[in-house]
Amino acid sequence: MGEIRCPMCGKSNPAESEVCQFCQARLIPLVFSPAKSEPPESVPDEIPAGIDAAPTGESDWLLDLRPDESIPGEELPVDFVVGGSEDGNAPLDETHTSADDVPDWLARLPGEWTKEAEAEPLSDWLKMETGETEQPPSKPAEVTDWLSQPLPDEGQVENTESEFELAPGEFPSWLEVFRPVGDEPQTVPARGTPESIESSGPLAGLSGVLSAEPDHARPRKSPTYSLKLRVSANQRTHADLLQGLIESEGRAQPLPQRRGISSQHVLRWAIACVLWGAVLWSVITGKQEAPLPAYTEETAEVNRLISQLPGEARVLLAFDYEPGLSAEMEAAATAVVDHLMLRGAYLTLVSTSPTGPILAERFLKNQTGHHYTSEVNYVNLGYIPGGAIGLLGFVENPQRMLPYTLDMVAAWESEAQPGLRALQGVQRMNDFEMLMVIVDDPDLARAWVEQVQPQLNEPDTLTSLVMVTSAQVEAVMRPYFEANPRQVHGFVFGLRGGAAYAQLTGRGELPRTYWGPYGFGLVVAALLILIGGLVLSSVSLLARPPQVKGEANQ
Amino acid sequence: MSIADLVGAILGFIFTLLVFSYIIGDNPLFRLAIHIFIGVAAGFAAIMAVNNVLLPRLMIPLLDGSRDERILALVPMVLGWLLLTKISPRLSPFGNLPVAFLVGVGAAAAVGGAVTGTLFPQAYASINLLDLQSAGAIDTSLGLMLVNGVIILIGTLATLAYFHFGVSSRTQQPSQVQVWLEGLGQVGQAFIAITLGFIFAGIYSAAMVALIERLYFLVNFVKPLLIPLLPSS
Amino acid sequence: MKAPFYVAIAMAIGLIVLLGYFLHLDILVNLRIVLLEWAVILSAVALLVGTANLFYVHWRKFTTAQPNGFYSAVLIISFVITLVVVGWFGPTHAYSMWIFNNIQVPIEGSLMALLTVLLAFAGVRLFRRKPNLISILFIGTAILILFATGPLFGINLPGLSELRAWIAQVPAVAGARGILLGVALGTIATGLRVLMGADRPYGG
Repeated sequence: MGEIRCPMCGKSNPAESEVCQFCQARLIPLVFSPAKSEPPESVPDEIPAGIDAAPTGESDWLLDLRPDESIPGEELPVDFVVGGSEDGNAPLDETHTSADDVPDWLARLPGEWTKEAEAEPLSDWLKMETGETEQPPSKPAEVTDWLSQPLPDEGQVENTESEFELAPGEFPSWLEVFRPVGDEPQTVPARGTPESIESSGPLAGLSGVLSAEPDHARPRKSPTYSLKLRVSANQRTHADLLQGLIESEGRAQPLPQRRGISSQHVLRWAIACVLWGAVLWSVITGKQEAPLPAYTEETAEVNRLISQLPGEARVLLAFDYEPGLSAEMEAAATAVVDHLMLRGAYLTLVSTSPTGPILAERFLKNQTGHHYTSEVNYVNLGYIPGGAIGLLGFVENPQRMLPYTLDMVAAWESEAQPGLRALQGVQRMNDFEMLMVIVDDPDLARAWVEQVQPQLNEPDTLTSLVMVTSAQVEAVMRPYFEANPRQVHGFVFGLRGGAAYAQLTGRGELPRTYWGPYGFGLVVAALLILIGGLVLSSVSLLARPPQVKGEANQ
Repeated sequence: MSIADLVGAILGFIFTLLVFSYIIGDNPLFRLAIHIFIGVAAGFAAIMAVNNVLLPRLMIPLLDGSRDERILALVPMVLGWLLLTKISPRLSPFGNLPVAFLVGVGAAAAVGGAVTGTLFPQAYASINLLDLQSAGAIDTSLGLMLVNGVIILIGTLATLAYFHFGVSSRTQQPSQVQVWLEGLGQVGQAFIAITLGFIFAGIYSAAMVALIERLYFLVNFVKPLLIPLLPSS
Repeated sequence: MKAPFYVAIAMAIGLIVLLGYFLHLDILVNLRIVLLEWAVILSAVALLVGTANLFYVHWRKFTTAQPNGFYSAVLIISFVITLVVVGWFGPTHAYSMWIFNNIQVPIEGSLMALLTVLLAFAGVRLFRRKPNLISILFIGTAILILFATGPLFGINLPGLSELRAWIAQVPAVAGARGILLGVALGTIATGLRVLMGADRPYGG
């Protein structure tokens, strides 16, 4: 039984097969023009080589396909097949060839293959496929008629192609800019050129045939395409600038060298001299004695609530301010805590700030006239971390959150121990008669209200929530006092509130000491801002160049 | 005054002047004072975290607690060790679990507090602004209370309108609602400006008290040194 | 571990804590307390991580001889001394209080005092800009409150205190209430995004 060797993969197939069992390539070529073509004869078993096929007769389809010369605008760039130049930046001029010239790569390629075919025996892949040993391919016994037919005239092919030739599209100029440099329109390799002589396979020696190997099977270097856009010099400058900005983003920039002394420095020094000089003068001379301010509604409420506390009331006192604002907070709270101590209240100290417990100890130590002792009159439970989380946990179960004092003494009542006096009978927040928060930060103050106050809303709860805050918190926290029903039952805002409270109780030396220089300093500062600002704005207004009317209207 | 107090006063004096030197410009002395402060503050924070939290609530239950307490303390101990891996960039992915835990609890606490502590009560307070019955109880002029209530209500709504961010309409002409909202937002901006001006004055007041306290300290430190030099009158 | 695991942990735990605000069931309360206790312990560990990282950064700066390494050495020395003294004697001991009263409080107080000059400087510079209604309202309110907060050279101008009180109780409250409500709404939106897994700040 005869066998046909597939021209594509080289494997043996039964003689009657029309398509290869392995790669589905046609074993019996199609005949396009039955009038002119002759029935094909059997394909030779072995792949012929070195056949010089003389065209004796050519079918129309072959004639049609055969161009005389390469179609203009269809030339591949130099770097398309051979892999391009190293950087892929084949300039325009080098790749553009005329229609008459055959590209070098095309001229080179068949010759190379031809040379390779002549110089070397069968390629290794071919030997592997055919299983043959190293021997030169032998000539076939017969050449089929369709193979022996001459290729169509190039002139006829060109005429035919010229009928179907599409006019090359004209790109608008704005689109031309985006055409990558080096990305020339691909050209179909010229068919039927005398140089493209098949060197292997059953069509060996014939020119102008389709290659036996598909292009994608040919081992070659991958083509590289230039992605360089056509950019103008201006665009290049901008692109470099942007790239420089992006690259510098991650780098630490050196601090710019400042000029020696600028007008801003002088202004700042002048403000410092005037302001600090005025306050210092007031501090040294002590001449700015001023009457204490009248109390406000929120301050009076604190006074009323403390006055109504039962004897030996249990009060939770939270010290939640930073050491930097200790001057104001101590001045604001001193009269209030003094009032609590006068009532004989037991104080339980907590804080959500790491330095809070220490500030609490320092504050109580500075309260003159009272001999409050730790673990007798007051208990310092220490620090609750976590902000709002810690507050919520403390509200839910204070014993579990802070079981010991700052000195590691068990604070709460249990079966094993009676607990400290300040915490006797206290299980929850509602068991305290009063919660007083001394706070300087609006967010922290808000967290106290949000986490603690809802629990105090329970029925039959007599616990009141009051706050002693910094002046900067007044604006944000006042809505909690002005609410109906009130969420915070009383406020003492800043030194002004502390001085008013001192006026109410008749006690508290610190706010009285600070009050005079405080008012003087604020007035001087306000005048500085007002006068200095007006002068500066006048100067800058006069220094501005006069605007043309037209520009002004625009 | 003991020697420790004297040395402490001298240190406080020097540090105050070092920080005040910033007015002249950023200088090495100011930076020295700041770095010392940061070291001290970090030291205090670390000790408070260990002494006041980890020791009583983690170590003591683990070492001296009942069986249930030990089991319960194991979980935060393991999570704590995982959280410590956040120090190393290589091991930091192991710390994602405790961070997820903290984030979940923190988000819930924030949401719950905002709803129960601010949103509902403050909205209710805005509604109750025109509650004439409570005005009578507080002995306030009804007319004044009504006017103030209307101003507060309009101001609150206008401020909320200023924070409203909506999708811009596709049509050229904004809708009537958007025009109203923008106008109301402008009014809200005015109320916010007043509030922020008040806050600015409050911050300045707090800083003024700190300045007075520092100046009193400097004067009280220097005065005893200068008194012998002053001519006796 | 996979990201969905972290998301599930955050969502589950967050849900338990959140539900406790609205439902008062015994099992929920007990579970909530345990979770909050663990969270508080982890917060303390997080604080330790922060201080350890601070130490590590400055240690590297010092040992690799980077610029300003001297300041890093100073920071490390003060950190270690504070750790030793406060850790050994306790936070409320006289030595610890000495460090606190003579180093931390003066420096922080002085930093706050610097604001008097810097804020006044900023207020003066505000006049340089082209004024509009908002900036005039802002600076005008600030100056008015500064005048009205303290004694005006010992004189009580009639109406000034009342004006201050009215500004504090009416327009400032209006703006502040709007801000509080806006902040609360934003907090709820952000918190719910985290609880639903839309935002994953924990690296999931």
